[in-house]
Order: sequence, then C-alpha cells, then structure tokens
Amino acid sequence: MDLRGILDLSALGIYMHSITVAIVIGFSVTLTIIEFLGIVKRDHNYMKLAKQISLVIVIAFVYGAATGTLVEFGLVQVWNGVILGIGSFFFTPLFLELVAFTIEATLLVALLYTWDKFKNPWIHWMITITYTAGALFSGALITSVNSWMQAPWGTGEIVKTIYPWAPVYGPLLVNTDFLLSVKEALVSMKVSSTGSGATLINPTVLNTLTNSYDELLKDVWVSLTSPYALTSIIHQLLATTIVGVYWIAGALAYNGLRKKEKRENYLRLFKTIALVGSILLIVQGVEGHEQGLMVYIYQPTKFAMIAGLEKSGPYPAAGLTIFGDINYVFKGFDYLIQVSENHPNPDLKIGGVPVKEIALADTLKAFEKLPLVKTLYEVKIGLAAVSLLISLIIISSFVFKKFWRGREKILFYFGLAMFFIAPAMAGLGWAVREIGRKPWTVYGLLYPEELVTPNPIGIEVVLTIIGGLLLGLLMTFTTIYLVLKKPPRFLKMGEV
Amino acid sequence: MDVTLPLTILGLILLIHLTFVNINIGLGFYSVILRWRSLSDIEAAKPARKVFKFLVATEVVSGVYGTMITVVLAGFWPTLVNIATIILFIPLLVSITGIIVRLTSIAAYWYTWDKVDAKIHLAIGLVMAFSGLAIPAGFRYIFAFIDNPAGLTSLNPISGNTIEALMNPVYPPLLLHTFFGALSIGFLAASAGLAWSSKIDKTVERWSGCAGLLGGLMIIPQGLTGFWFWSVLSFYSPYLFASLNKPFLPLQNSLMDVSYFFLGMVLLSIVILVFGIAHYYQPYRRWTAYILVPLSIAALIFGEIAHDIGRLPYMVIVGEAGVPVEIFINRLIFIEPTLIISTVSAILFFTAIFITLLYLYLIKGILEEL
Repeated sequence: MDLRGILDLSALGIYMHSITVAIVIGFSVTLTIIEFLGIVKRDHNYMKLAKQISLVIVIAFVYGAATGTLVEFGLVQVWNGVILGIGSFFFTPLFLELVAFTIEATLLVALLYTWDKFKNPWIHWMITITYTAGALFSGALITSVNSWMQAPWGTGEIVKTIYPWAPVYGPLLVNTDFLLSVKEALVSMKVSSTGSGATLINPTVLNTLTNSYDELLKDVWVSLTSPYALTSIIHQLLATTIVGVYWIAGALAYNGLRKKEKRENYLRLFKTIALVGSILLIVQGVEGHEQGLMVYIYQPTKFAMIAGLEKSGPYPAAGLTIFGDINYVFKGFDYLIQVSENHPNPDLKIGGVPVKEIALADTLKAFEKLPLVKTLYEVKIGLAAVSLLISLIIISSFVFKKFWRGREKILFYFGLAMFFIAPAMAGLGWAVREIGRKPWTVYGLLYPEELVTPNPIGIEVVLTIIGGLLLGLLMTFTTIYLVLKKPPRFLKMGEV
Repeated sequence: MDVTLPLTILGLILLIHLTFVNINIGLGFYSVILRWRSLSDIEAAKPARKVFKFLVATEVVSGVYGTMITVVLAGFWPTLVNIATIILFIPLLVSITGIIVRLTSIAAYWYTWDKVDAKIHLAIGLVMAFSGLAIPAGFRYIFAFIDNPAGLTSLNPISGNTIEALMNPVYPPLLLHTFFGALSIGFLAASAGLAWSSKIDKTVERWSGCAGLLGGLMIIPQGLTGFWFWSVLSFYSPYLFASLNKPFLPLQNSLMDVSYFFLGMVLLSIVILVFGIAHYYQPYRRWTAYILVPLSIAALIFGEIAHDIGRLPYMVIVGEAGVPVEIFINRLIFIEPTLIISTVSAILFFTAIFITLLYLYLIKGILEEL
C-alpha cells in the first residue's frame, strides 16, 4: 500500500474511533444534565433516560478503548516518526491523558454500579460529573496533541526560515540546531531515497544530537499553552458534544414518532436535550469564528484553501468578522507562491536542497488541495447554517408554545435530521482540519513520508485493521441494541 | 537522565498490568468452561456468570494499565519503542487485533447471556477466551526481543528482518510459560471468588474446588515450559541466565543476582500445586482458596522481577552483555520528576478507588448475592 492508502487507512481508523468519542463525550455531558434534571424534578423518566445513556456510554467506552488502542498503535507503529513527538512535544499531554483515562475508566464502573445505591442522589451525580470532567479532560489533551501538529508552537521562526509566508509560532522553546539537524537528515534521506525517516529515531542518532546540542525541547508544557490548542480544544469538544447530544435527541425523536402512546413523554425529553444541542450549536457558531481566526493567523495555506483564494482578494465572511471590512484583501496562493519564489534566504539549503525549492514545491502541493478543501468547507458551512436554523426553530418551541401545539411531529423530524447533520458537520470539519494541513503532518516541519514505518503495509494489515474496526462496530451496536431492549436488572429501569 | 524513576514507574505499572491481565485471561477460560458445563449441569450456570462478572470488573484496570505501558515506554524509551515497532511489526499487529476482538467479545458475551442460543453464546465465549491469549502472543515478542534481539540487523538506521524476528527461539517457551501461568492465576482467582460466594450458596463450592485444582495443576506445564525457557536462555540470553543462577554458576558474568526471586517463584509454585490439589478435595476449607491468590500473584511478581531486573543494567541483552538502559532513555526533554510522581500518584489514587469499588461490587454485589 502506498502512502496515500496509509493516510486513508489512518483517517478511517480515526473516524471510526470518533464515533465512540462522540458517544463517550457527548453522552456524558447529556447524562450530567439529564441526571441533574431528574434529581431536581424528581422525575422517573429523566432518571430512566440517564440510566440508559450510562449503559450506552459503558459499551461505547469499551469499543472506544479498543479503537483508541488501534489509533494509538497506528501512531507508534505505522507512523513511527511520531515517537519523536511522544518523547518531547506530546510527553506532558499524553502523560496527563493517563490520569484522565484512569478517572474515566474507574468512575465509569462506579457510575454504572452505584445507581440507586446512595440515599442522597447527589452523591451519584458527583460521580457522573467527575466522570464527565475526566472524559472532557481526555478529549482536551488529545486535541492539544493534534493542535501542535497543526501549529507547532514553540518553534519560533524556524518554519518561517523555510516558508517565508509562515507566521512565528510563539517563543523559541526548541533547540534550533537540533531540530534543523533532524530535518536535514530527513530531507537527505528523502532525496537519496534510502528509506523512511522513522528509522533515524534511533539511539545512535538521538544520543549524538543530544550530546552535541543538549535537549530538543525546553518547555514540556508547550503543546498545552498554544493559543491554537486552546481554541481547538473548545471547538473540538463542542463539536463532539453536539454530535452526541443530537444522537440522543434523534433517538428520542425516532421513538416519539414511532410510539404514539408515549409521544408526550418522548417530546418532553427530546425538547430538553435538543435545547441543550441548540444552545451548544449557537455557542459553536461564535467559537467557530475564533477557530477561523487561528487558522488565518497560523495556517496561511489552509486559510487560502478554505477561502478558495487562488489569488489574493476579499473573503467577505472573514473580512467582516475579523476586520469589520468585507472588502479586506486576504493573501491567496498567488502571494504565497510569489514570496516563496522571492525567498529571503535563497542560498540556505536543507539536506542539500535549497529552501526556496522546498518552499515553492510544498506551497504548490498545498495549492492542489484547494478545490477539495474549499468544497468540504463550504458543504460544512452550508450544513452549519441549516443546523443553526433548526436550532432556532427548536428554541422557538419553548417561546411560542401555542404555535407548536399540534405540530410536535415537525420538531421530531428536525431532530431526526440533526441526527445525521451533526456528525456530517463534525466529520467535514475534521476533514478540513486534517487535509488542510497537507502536505505536512507537522505543519511546515514534517511530511507524512518522513514519519511512516519502513515496513510495507500489506493487504493483511489493511484487512486486520478494517476487519477489526467493522467487527467491533457491529458488536458494539448489536450490544447497545440488546442492552437497551432488555436492560440489566440491577438498574431497576422497569419497562423501556 | 537518571533511570531509577523511569524504571520504577515502568516496573510498577507493568506489575499491576500483568497481575490483572493474567487473572483476566484465566477467568475468561474458567467462565467458558463453566458455561460449557452448564449445558449438561445447570448448577454450573451461576458460577459461570459470577466468574465472568469478576472478569468484566477487572478488565478495565488491565486495559488502562496496558495503555499506560505504551505511553511510559514511548515517553521514557522512545528509541526502544521505535525499534520494537519496526522489527516486531507483525506480532504487535496480532496483539492489536487481539485487543479489539477481546474487548468487543467481552461486551458481546456479557450482553448476549440468555439472549441467544446457549451454543452460540458458548462460541462467543470461546472467541472471548482465546482472543485474550492473542494479546500476550504478540506482546511477549517484545520480552523475547529484549532477551535476544533476533531479526535486528542495524541500529542506525534501524533495519531488520521482521520474519526472522518471528523465529526468535526465546519466544515459544516464554509464551507457553505465560499462557499456563495466566490460566493458573485466573483459575485460582476464580477459586477464591467462588469460595467466598460459597459462604451463602453452597452449590458453588465444588466449582471453587475444581478451579483450585485446575489452577494448581497448571503449575505442572508451567514448570515444564519454565524449564524449557530457562534452558533456552542459557543459549540465547546468557547474561540473563547468569543473573538467574548467579550463586550456582559463579563463573558466568552478571552484575545482577536475581536467583532469590527465581527460587522464590519455584518454591511458591510448588506450594500452589499442593494447595490447589488440597482445595479440590476439601473445598469447604475456604482459606486454602483465599491464600492461593496472593501466593500466585507473588509467584508472578517474583518471576517478572527475576526476568526484568535480571537484565539490568542492560535493556537489551546481546550475548553475555547488552545495550545499557541509559542508551535508550529519553534525553529529548528534561522530565520533571514532580510531574511524573504527581501523575503516577493520581493514577494510583484512582486505581485504589477502583479496587475499593471492585471489592464492594464483587464481595457485596456478586459473590454474596443470592
């Protein structure tokens, strides 16, 4: 399998893992709210729904742990070069992730088996909210790792040395000589086609470099302090939560349409959850602006892709929200190519290759992705507009109660639509995020071919991974179906 | 960087992980054995379910700690992990597949109980039990590799023969030794759990005795494969062999002496065999079952310490010497000991909470349920 295929396989793994992430994160936020309302209102139906949600979370967590392991091994086994990052830039978030994972795993068991076990129901709710905090913390840490690959904070002007259009990524917290030596060796290897750069992550090379230059990274917290990471964490957690919330709302809407005799009850639950989703969507709309701003500042090629700027020119939406001027002229690929051609360091070479040549070639490679990324982004924005409209309609059902009386089925249909629109939006958003940073894996610094395993990825590997994911997904949904149909007796849920 | 803290943390996490993993593998098999027996003897159905609930409750810990080992290894010894993932690509893939199938089949086995035909459920159980073996089947290659780095041809750039790595002569006895050990510990854990349960429900008493017997008898093949492993080490990992036998083979060169742990493991194994058989004949003496669990865990810990400490000061043994631990240690960053200690403390704190909950869940919720 070639590099393209390996990238696609990794994307498939991440997308399938994200299904369980959306359930674990989105459902846990919903569970916290629903259990809270159930306790406050002393409402049996809320509590029953909360128990159902907790059951689904447990199953999804198990599958999520399995696919998460797959993604984790995908990183260290298929993209071996990432190990360099785990030993440096990602060390702290991944170590803290172990704490988050332990909190999640231990409290999830506690959460499930202590329903109705405490005289004071708020004790159980405290377990729920702590578990939810653990799940969100876990999501935040993993997002920070991805964010460093999007905007390599702490590298100062290093990227700008190669790509003159690049910004400065914060204060210089890395050892420039060390990093450039690694890059030099990787480029040399690529030019001479002597194999994967991952094979250079060995004791001989790294010990020689540390003996010569000392440590690679001076601040182990760097990936958690980047403004790009902070914005991304909020954006990603909101997106994931929205998906989970609307999956529950959609399931309730489906039941509300199917079971006429229980429609009132389903409507009440649906409206509560859909309201949460709607509010989060509106917040996400505001936050999306911040995320866009980060892309504009730290990823010039990605911004030009999503704005469709083959040539510099206005991009009204961003011009209005960032500068208050719809005619503001943003820099397009023509500018990025031009400054690469007129490189300020034309004599500088990396691995024997002039940086001007590297900058120009990579900018052109990024330019090739423009039509795809622009299309994905526009579809995503279109769906976001539709979902915002639906959110306002759902909110209106709380304001104009008389108008909606007798028209509840319409709300259910909107809920069903959001069941599909919410994950489509999140999936497209993630695709824009990931494809938009190409041709690099670490923006402006490392390419996928420098990080990939030297081992051939054969059909047996592909079948194992896809087969494992599909089998797991099938078993998960079968189990969720069975368990919701006949919940365990200890939950005392009665008829469902 | 001083390697004491990283080694201590790796050792601690590895021992917790291996203890739970071994218990879980054995519990899975015993649950399926009882499930199979329940097709003809309805009395076996209840203990089969209890044993499996025990597994479900503890699987989380082994999984979480397994993930921790990956992060600790890649964080502290990134180059070693890179070498292993390149040379042991195929075995690690086997483990990953095993993890996916294991976790999902546990969920399926749990939730399809009494919801599908008994034979179909048994088939799901077999998938669950055997997939548990697939995980160490892959990961034990790493241990075999650091005992004898078969397949590695160059360190810079890393290159090797992934097929030759599969032929590592240290691997087969190590794996079989692991399998029988896991079955032994798991069966003995089931025996203790069912012994506690028999305080209220006498019908499970005999199944506690059977588990004790099986767990005890597993010591025999474990001992035989252990002897095989020991003799293979003399050829392919002489430094480790010398560490294991230092007082008896003073001419061999080793800086470590782990013979006391090695002998301790052997002696504990003999005691386990005797007590296991005794419990089968007198299952009403519950204390024998209770004592078998800490004994078997102690034997496991002694064995792992002998195997892993015996390798020091090397991380990878090459003949009568090796590549020191310091060569692989992460020097890319300065790792603050306070960050590591506080992180590990938090992990251990939540693990303690979990074990307390597990105790309440198992003892009060399952084992004593009527």
